[in-house]
Amino acid sequence: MSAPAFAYIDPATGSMLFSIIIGIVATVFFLLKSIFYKLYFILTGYNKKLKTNYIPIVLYNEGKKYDICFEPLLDEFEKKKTAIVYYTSEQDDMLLNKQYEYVKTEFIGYGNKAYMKLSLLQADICVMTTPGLDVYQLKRSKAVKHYCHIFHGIGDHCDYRLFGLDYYDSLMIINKLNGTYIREIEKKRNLKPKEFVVSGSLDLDKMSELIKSMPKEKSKKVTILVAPTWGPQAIFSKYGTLIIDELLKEKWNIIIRPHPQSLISEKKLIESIKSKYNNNNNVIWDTNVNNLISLNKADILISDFSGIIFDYAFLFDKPFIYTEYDQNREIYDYSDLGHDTWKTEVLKKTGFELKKDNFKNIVNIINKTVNDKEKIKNVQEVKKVIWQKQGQAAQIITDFVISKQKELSR
Amino acid sequence: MLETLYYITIYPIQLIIEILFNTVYYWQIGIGLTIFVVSLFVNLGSLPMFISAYKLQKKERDIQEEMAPKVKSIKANFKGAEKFMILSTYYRQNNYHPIMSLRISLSLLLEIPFFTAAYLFFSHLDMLNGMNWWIIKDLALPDGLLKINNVTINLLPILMTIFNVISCEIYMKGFKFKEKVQIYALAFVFLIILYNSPSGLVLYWTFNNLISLIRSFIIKLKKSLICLSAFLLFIIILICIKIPSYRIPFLLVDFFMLFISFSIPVYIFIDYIKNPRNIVNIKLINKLFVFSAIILVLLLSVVIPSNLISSSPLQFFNETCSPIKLLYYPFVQAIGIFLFWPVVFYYFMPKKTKISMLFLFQIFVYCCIFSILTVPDMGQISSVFVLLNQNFDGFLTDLYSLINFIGFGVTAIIISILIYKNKLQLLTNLMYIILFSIIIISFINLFKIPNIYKEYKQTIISDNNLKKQIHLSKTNKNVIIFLLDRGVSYFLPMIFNEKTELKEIYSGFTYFPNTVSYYPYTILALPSVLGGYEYIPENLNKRKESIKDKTTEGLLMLPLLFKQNNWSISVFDIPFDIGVDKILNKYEIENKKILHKYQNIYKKEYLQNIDTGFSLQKRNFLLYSFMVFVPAVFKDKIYDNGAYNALNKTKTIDQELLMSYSELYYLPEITDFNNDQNTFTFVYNLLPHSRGYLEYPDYVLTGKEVLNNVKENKKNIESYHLNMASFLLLGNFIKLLKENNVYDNTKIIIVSDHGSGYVNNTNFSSMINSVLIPFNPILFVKDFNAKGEYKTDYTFMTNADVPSIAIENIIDNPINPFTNKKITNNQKNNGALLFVEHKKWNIDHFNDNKVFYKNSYFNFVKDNVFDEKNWILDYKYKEE
Repeated sequence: MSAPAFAYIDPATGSMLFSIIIGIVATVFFLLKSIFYKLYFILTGYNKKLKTNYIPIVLYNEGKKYDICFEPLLDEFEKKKTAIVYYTSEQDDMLLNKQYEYVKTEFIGYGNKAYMKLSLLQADICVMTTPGLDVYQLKRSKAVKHYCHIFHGIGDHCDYRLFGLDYYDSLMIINKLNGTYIREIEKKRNLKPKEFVVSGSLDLDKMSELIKSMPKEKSKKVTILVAPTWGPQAIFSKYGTLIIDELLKEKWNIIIRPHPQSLISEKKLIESIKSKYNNNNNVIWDTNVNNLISLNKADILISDFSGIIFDYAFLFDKPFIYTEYDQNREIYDYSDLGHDTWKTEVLKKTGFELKKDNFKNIVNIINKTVNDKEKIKNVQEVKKVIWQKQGQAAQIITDFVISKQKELSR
Repeated sequence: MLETLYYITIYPIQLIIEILFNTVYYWQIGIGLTIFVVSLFVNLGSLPMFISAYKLQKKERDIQEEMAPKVKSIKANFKGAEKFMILSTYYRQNNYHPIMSLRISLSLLLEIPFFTAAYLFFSHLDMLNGMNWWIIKDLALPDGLLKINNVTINLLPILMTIFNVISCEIYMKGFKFKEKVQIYALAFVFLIILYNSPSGLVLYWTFNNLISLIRSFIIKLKKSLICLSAFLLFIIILICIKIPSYRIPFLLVDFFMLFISFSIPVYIFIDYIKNPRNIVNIKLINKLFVFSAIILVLLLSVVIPSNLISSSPLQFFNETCSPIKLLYYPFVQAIGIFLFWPVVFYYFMPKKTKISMLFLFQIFVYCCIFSILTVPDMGQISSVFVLLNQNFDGFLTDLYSLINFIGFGVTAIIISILIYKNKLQLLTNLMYIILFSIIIISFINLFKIPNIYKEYKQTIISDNNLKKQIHLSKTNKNVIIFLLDRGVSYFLPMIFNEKTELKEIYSGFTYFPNTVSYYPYTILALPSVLGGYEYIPENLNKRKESIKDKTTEGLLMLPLLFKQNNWSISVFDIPFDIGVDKILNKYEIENKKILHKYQNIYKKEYLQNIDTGFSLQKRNFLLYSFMVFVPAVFKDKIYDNGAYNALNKTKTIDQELLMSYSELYYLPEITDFNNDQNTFTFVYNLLPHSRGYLEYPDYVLTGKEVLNNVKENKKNIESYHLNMASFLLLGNFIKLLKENNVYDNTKIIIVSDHGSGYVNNTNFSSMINSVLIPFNPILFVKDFNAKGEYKTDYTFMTNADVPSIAIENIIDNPINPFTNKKITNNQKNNGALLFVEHKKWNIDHFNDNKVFYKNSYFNFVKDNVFDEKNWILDYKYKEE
């Protein structure tokens, strides 16, 4: 126990000590600085070797319907002897079992589990079809240098929900027109210009290949394919079974192919339609992932604004019938484009718009459309403009990815 | 939590208002103009921040307006989580974050702390009581200017609201009504809050509104800078007309200080006219700025305070608050003043001003370190940061001031060059070095405090009862020595003249006015009081042992001598923790610590609800640090005679006064007469050494300071009070001895270790005052069986005579138990060599083995010390 304060305080006590400490710390700091840096380099250099998670090229498949895009890509990479990793969220993805030498495949789970893994990904380049990168749950990984988007179907990025492709670094597009839309929207949103490459369409290339090996089935009866999309503007929600009922007046084959999303979010509606035609032998339901079989059978397609209409028109050079629709542009990237896209014009040229007051006339319309020479000619002309680089998509995309990766790893 | 928030956000502004007010008030321009000028400066100081806030507010409005259609569309077309994610993305693309919408209320948000600070300051400003200005009768009350029948209406708040509304109209021209509502609602809230408030506060806020009215008017004008200057010039002229001419030098100094304090706005002005400089890395600049602010906080609120506390931890102990807890206050205050507000200010400033602020803060940091390393010898300091040796005038002329000035200048130049040359990385590295050093020194300083405090709590606070401590004998002999630290000898006849009843109480005593001590401070004076002439500085130097050992010997010589002669020994509070207790324990004697013991009992009984210094410690600790930091020329201004610019003089009781007073007060209660041996008792007390006034005319410690109605130097009165109280309290003890018939068999020596350098006697020449009074201790002795009114004996004495006096007629042929030398007082026959030069008051002193070196200065005196002729000054000691 110290004695009571005798109250002689020297405020200078400690100053000496402080100056000594500053001196020591400074000396130690400068002495150790070089050692510290050496240590740092050794450690970080060591770390680089430890970075086993690093992958140069990653492809990610969100689900079954995109298999058709990825298979040609994997085949092409294999052909080019480029090592890549293919992640899929589809447990029974048939690509998982396909024998590759250069392609490593892995099921990474789906939903948040997959997003978690992707957000921690370390790679030079990541190729995906998934829109909404860095908008929805799927975030950009800081350790991925480049994200590349590939399209599915014939369309443009105006069809995606708002900001769908804004956080990709490059887009593989179907035609040059799409490129002008991209620039317009980028300008409006003050975004950094993205790279884009006109690559054509992976899935159309694949499908046209598949069609070649398909038997030319020719039913005696006329076959009608009804393939709507989903949502309040789609055929079933908007008109119920009005169209089907009219069609059934003729003895035609009717294939109903509901949108996969309808089976999930409009279950009740689909069930009620199904039960209505339960006993009708002329109605066939198609829920196959692959739409080609039905498309191949169909003499005519009736749809709304589903992407299937272009698949049908461009693959089979046939016109189609589509119902009128009010698309809510505000939901889509469309809303930031000051004008219509090529779609509006192409629809008019190559298809027939079916209005509600014409439903009674549908049989006539079908007969007329199927044999409409002018429309068929239009389809062939439009196809050249809209679907560019036919048969080259996989080649162009893999070339781009490989050279990009080289550039990034430099 | 709330307190922390208050210290960080409100307190800094409140303190600035207080310091400004204190400064401007002493220009003597009248209370109204003072309030106006304070309001003006606060307004000008915060102006850049408010202008920037206004701009951000406008920016926010614009961007919100621009985004509105799309936001509306997203909100209408998306639902739930998707709505949130799409909206977030949209904001991100527009470089916007929803939190930024707070910007719309920014100036409002800033207004709140400014208003709260003013509110707290003015509504607690005691000096406004009864003060009138113009038509307002009492600034501490609502104005009540309009009386209709029996209804009194306060006009000032209404005037204030009118200014407010007009100002809003100008300020928010073109805004939508919806946006204006917020501001009008606020004006209305102010009206309600302030309607019944002291008119001094309302006046301040009225001026505030008037100034912002003029301000918004000027900003809208084309040549706003010229108009602003004209307006300021007008104010200065107004002040100069009102100011008494002898106050003008003060005004100039203050203006210079204000200029420095408001240098940031000045920087902005300079920025406008300066050429743009290349700014490389604003991120690094931001980082370095925040880093410097943090370092500054740590230097001012941890390093300087912990240096002080650790040099004497016990002094800062208090039963409710450990010194560590005490450090909380400077810490949060410093965060508010040097981190929070500067960072807020910084945020609002344009790039170039940010760099200027970085310059300023970097310079602050290094100057602060320079100040800490070259801290001047400020002498002793009380637990409420009052310097006992106030000598700041010296700063302006002496070497310290020059070194300080050069040091600050050179530091500023070096740092400026480094920043100018973009050596930001080097500066960041230096910051790390300083940070590590701060952490180390803080650990060293703070580490020892908790343990000492724990022990202190256990031994002293928990056991605060009135157990008997002093055991005297009714039949055998008693020798008692009361040592009154810094007791002043010449007060003694004055005390006995004022309280004549003391003459009867102190019967048989002899007063020795012609007495000197060999040194004016305890550290070297006390050993000879208890050890005799072998322990005066001159003789200490002749022996080679460490001063620690020699001092210990001196302090213990007398108790051990009595012990050897089989006396019962009680010693209380022998100072210095240098091993005294260990040696005493060997002889089964305990150095009992009772000085701290009775303060709580006394407080509980007589001083409920009276502050014993805590509120002053809370307020002034950071300001003390700040005083250490600022250049020499500003120290005096910050120190403000120990008030640290406080306008409300907080009444507190000095810790030392409380404990010393209570010990002497309870002396009779802790004494019994059950001893059957001869007894020797030594009591060490600090009452004359402490600070504060007692309640006149009884000189009682009540917390009320009532001064005698005499024209005297205040220091003299204070010291007189404390000496008087000492004799009154010891008188009670003597009465007890007499009542119990132990007076005649008791020898009493009341002695002080040295005189006081802080008092002077107008009857003495200035030379005697300066050379004698610090060396002129009390020596007041009563022998066994002595009777009659006290006598005065002019024999030449020194307080090293005490051992001889104590053993006289008790021990024959006394021998020093340590040195085996005979105890005599022959040395003074040739006069006394008084040591003047030594300045080591701290613990370092004990580690040396010499007290002084060749050619040290002494004063020599013999015979009659009151006769100037008997003094030889500045005698150079020639070592043998």
